[in-house]
Amino acid sequence: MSQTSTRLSHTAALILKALNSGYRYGFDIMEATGLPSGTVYPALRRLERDALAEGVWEKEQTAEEEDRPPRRYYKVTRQGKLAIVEAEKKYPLIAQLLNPQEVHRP
Amino acid sequence: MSDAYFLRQLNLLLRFASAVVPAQERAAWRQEWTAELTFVLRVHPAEAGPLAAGMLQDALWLRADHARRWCVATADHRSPSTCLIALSTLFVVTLATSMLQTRVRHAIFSQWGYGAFCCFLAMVVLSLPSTFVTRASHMGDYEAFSCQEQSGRARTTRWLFLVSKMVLTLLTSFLLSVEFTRPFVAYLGVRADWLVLIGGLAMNIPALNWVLLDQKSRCPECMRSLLSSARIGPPSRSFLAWNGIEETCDRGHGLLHLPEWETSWFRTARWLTLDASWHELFRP
Repeated sequence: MSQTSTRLSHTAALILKALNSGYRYGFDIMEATGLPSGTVYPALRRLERDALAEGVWEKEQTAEEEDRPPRRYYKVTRQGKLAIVEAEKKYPLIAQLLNPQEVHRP
Repeated sequence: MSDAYFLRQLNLLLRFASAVVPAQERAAWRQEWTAELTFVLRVHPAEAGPLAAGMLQDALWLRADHARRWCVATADHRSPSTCLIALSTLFVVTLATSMLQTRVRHAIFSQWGYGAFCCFLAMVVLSLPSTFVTRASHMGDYEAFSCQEQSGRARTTRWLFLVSKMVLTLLTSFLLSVEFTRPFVAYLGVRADWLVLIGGLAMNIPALNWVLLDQKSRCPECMRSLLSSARIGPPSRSFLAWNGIEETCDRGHGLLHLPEWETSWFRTARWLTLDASWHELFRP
């Protein structure tokens, strides 16, 4: 576990925290954290590769009802939740960096 | 800028970036970005530009990650070719860096550069005897691995490998010494030439030492780095050291016995050739 937390950068920890707070897709995280898309999307890939987050495709039916292509939603894995606990110890102010807006729950 | 033009630009960028993404991830990547852009264009059209700005970065990250995974899976860091590729890459990068700096480029290809290179070679020749005396106690010609046992091809490969490593490291050292000392020319004038000599000497001695140490820690048959270093004998037998170290070729060509010093084990380094009956224990 400690190995995971040492590899987690401040930005990755912030994105993981945002995912854990209910922000579920790239643009949502961009708005919540204020980070640019060039940082958010590669960070999401890295989190997924390290098994800290998991990407799931939205159901086709839901997307069709809203007349748009299905989106990829991300959620924090069990390992990711442990990493957040470690990251919060390392970066105590991380929660305050998220916008205090209402959490999207599509 | 019209909406149609903007959409066309977005589509072009999406197509260009998706070409960068590795083939097996391309369809999913394109689908995810299409969904994101569709949503943003519908809900927050002003944010579409900033969102699309990261598309190429995301694609490049996937490509770099794919290359990294490929390197980890396929690169054989013990093989002599990997060593030569790494040294060649270092040399090419150093050369490119030098060529991009106008002052350094002019200096290298001038009469001064020719003189500096000759002086650098003189320093190499001066330092070679001491380096060889301290490091070249055995360079693959072991007692039990006599010249009769070695194939001519293995011996030629060994020497070619050594010479190639030397040439590449020395050329890189020369370029680095010129690069590091050129900024001082403005302050020191002609006296900066001495810095090139000192810098060259300071770089070529560790470089040659590394070349010889690396050569000694390779299998004399296939030139792969030896592994599984095992200490031989009881600890602190020879002051605080062990009697010696045994290393193995991972292709099963043999074992290298390195004594701590002449009286602690064998007098000199000894290569124990393993016959074909051992080969099934090693990877092909």
